[in-house]
Amino acid sequence: MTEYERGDVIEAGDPFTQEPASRPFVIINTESHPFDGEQYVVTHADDPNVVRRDAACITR
Amino acid sequence: MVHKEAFRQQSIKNQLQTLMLESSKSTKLSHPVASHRDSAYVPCGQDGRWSLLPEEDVCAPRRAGRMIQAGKHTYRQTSKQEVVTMPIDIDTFEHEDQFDESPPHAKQIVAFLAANSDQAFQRGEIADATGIDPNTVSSVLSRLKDRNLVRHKPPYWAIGDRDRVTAAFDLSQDIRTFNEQLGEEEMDAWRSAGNDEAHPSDERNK
Repeated sequence: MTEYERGDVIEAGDPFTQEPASRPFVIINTESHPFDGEQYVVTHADDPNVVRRDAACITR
Repeated sequence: MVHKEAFRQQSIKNQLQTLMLESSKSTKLSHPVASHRDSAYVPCGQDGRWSLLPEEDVCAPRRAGRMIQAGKHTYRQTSKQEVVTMPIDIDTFEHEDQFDESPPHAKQIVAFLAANSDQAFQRGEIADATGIDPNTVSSVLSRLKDRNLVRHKPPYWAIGDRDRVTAAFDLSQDIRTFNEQLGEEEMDAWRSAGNDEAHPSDERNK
């Protein structure tokens, strides 16, 4: 599993469609956050709402 | 007199068992989805852990005469198994471009397997249950397996890890919400706008 760190821009898409990635997100959490490497706290590039993402959902 | 009391107790017990049987039936998928219209009412799961599933994948109690709103559509439940469409008002017709909102096949299949998490199915059974072409079911299932959303022991398929599936439904819902609220992103534009040079953190890692 690729490790991501704060500031990385990743792409994620709807896991139920063929399209691999449809939106960019910015990784916020650091190694000190729980489940680092499995789940990431991300924010949308255009939106202040913070969401938590499963690493397996991240495509890049 | 004793016999009469015993009979009464037995009768109450039978009634209770019938009630429990009925209630357990109502929380389980009694009949698989046959079309995208029905898929809006698939009972997804047998406990509260599935409450995060998107609205159109969660069950509504099946009751004749019930009006159901799903997306831009209104449906009327005519019987336990049958749902008919209702006309839309002209304002909705004027202002919307697209009305076909059938969930992706992958979501229908995962919803079906999640609703029947105590069983595993062969490809043909999933195709029959969902009304999706068997060849499409095959390709969708292998894609879902790559994403760890379903488990496969030939020739059977079952739902994957609950947390993983819930996370996938969450992400699907988030992406849809973002697309509705902010518009869809042009990923090619994002990629071409990216910096060609390595990120400073990449340098640090060397």
